[in-house]
Amino acid sequence: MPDEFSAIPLAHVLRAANELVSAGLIKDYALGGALAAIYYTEPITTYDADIIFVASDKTLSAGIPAIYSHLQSKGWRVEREHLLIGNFPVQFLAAFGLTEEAVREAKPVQYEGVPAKVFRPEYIIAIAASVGRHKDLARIEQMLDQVKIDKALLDDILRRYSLQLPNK
Amino acid sequence: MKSEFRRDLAHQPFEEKIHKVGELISLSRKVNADASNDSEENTAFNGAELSESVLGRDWNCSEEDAAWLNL
Repeated sequence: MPDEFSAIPLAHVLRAANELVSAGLIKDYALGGALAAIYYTEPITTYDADIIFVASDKTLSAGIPAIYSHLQSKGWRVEREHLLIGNFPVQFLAAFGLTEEAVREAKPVQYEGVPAKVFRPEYIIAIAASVGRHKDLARIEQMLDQVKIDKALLDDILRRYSLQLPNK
Repeated sequence: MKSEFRRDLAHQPFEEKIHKVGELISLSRKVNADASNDSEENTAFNGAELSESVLGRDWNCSEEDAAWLNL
């Protein structure tokens, strides 16, 4: 892949995800993980992008082989659990439960003219609480400090998925 | 003060923040590459030290001292 991409070729990633929707390989998607958090917070270092998708194929594979095959035909490379565009790793993760709701409720945005969706902050916090690694707890703290949160929505999500914020 | 600065950063446009993250990644890669080069230089230096110690076994013997005594 040529060096035509910046360090984070996010517009290319989102365009590719939109193509997957158009091709019927996925129903819907949203940007999750650290890059979704950065939509709301200060920039932090991250080394990959997480695309959370609602599968068209409801079998166990969630249509991932077809997604990989489609992206590889567009020049993407596979390296372990990541697909690489240029040298930038992207994870395509099938949504279910909380993450599926997060995709459904995601915020429509434009990135360099490409339409996309980003997880809402309340869902980023709830997902971080459900995963619970150190970096997730740091993300919760950062979101609560820097982002205006819909407290009622967050409490509702936490209650419905039996989650708790740290120190609560 | 620091928190205010971080909140100001949070309000920058998404594209600008992603560009900054890209710069952080590039910087991190450069630092790792430099560290790797330093490590190679250290290996070379250690190699020289090792060579000296091996050669020293021959150079620092009494026969060698006697041979060079008249210089």
